[in-house]
Amino acid sequence: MKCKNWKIKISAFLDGALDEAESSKVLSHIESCPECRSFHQEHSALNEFFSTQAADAVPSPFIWNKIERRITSEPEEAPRQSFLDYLRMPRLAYGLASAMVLISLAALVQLRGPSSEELQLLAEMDAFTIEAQGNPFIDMTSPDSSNPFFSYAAKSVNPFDSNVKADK
Amino acid sequence: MVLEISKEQLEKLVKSAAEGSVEDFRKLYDVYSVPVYKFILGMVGNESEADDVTQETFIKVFYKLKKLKDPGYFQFWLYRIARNEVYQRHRQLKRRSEVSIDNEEIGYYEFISDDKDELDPEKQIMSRELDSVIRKALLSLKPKYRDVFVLAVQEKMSYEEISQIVGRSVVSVKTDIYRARQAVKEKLNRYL
Repeated sequence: MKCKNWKIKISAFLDGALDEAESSKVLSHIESCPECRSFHQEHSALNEFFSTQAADAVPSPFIWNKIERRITSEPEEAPRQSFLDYLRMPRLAYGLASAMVLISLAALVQLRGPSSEELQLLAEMDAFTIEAQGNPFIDMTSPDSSNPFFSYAAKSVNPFDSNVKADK
Repeated sequence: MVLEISKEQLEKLVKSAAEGSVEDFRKLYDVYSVPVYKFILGMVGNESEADDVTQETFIKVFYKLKKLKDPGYFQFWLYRIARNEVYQRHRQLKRRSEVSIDNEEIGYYEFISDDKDELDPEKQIMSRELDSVIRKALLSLKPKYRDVFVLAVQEKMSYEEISQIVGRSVVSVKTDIYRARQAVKEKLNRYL
């Protein structure tokens, strides 16, 4: 067994958590291994240190008076509702369930992605938009009600003709 | 953990206190307040803070006692509430200030008295320094290591009892105590 595992055992030994057989194994290992012996010595000292440090600690004598005052004068504290308690409310539970269904549906639609026809159309739209943006003869401002894909469809215009209206 | 109360007495007191008897709750307080206070002190490292947390723990215990199904589990349940109170306080303090234990070195040196009129000043300073260092070493542990360490080393609880309180397996408790020991020793290395 590696020293690290022995040290875990020594730690348990220091806390009195080992049975007799395990304890004697630990003790005989400590005899033969300098590293574990030193670990045992250091931590025995620390144990004593910590156990004596808090030995005389006592709470303030006034604590009980404060507790008594609180429990005899105040009504029983209302239990705080946990998140699970909120979930148990039927109305909220139905609402959350519906929201989850809607979110799942939306996610499914997103995951499906556009069809090949839709992709082709989108690519055409992108190419046209790029071309139109740099072209002073194409008006990108007026809506074209005949085209379901373009809220603002491009139309050829003469930039020198002041009579041309944008919405024509 | 050795307590001056039999299992039967304990169950009787718990049942009576759960029905609202302040007198019997006082008896429970008398039995458990000191060990619970020591545990809390080990966790928070400050007497006045430990007093506050002890007070809040027992108030909470009184109000929740009705919900305790098996009075035989009272002491584990009590320590669990104390531990939760400490964690809650810890979270509140953390929100208020993010000062780590290592950043408190200045405060630590200010704490050392240089009163020349005291008897054996060198020993006094050493003792105070040691107390402060130990407290800081404990506070520097992660709460999950600190609680098992305090329960094992200061409270002398068995690993099974600790496992009931912290809600982790005995194996995990054993390993965490070992890790806590290692971490404390590293912090104290330069003073040993």
